[in-house]
Amino acid sequence: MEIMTRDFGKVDIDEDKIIEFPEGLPGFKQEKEFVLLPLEKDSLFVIMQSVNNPDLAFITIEPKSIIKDYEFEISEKTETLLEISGIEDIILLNIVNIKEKLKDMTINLAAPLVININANLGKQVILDDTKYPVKYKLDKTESKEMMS
Amino acid sequence: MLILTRKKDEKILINEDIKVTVVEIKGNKIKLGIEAPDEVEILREEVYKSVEQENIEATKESKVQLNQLKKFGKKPDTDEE
Repeated sequence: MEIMTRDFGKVDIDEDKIIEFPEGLPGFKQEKEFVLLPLEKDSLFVIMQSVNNPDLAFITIEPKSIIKDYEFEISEKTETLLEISGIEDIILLNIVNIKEKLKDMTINLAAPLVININANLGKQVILDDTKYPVKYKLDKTESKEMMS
Repeated sequence: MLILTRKKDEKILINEDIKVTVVEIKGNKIKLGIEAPDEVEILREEVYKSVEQENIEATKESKVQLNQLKKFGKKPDTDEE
């Protein structure tokens, strides 16, 4: 099916790849269907585009490409909601907030997008804990590593 | 809003399976203990609000040049040698 996207114009998507967020996302409770579109081949960034709202898209990144040891527990509620049967079902993405300057970008580590890639179900999990900030800023080394 | 007065160690029952206990009262701080089934999500409101705010902000500031972003983050193992 064809959808209109914010960043890539019209895109032909596979309906089987639509990820359902049964609860929506905080701030976007009505938005329940998204697709993941890599920014380009080999990019660390993935655009999470709303299927029904062309203007709504999030720039996301896999946390493992920024920090080591990103760890949290997935609650039973989330496991049930996302029909998770094992760690191999899960991919993690974190929403990137980009200001005027790219180097000032922050990454929301406090609320990862947990996606069961085998069942196409997702939820933005809020880690109610002070370990990871909502606005995580890349330090110089991390920025360099990403740019190299 | 339903307003109830409780003393230290007193509890409130919600739906019979959610129990909120006033654990400690100290100045303007109250410690609450919450017992609830696993499927009940419990969050401090400001944490939820900050995520909500951050999501909205993240979609607003989308004016960045995607070309710039493309240069910024490449998977290291796929770099051409």
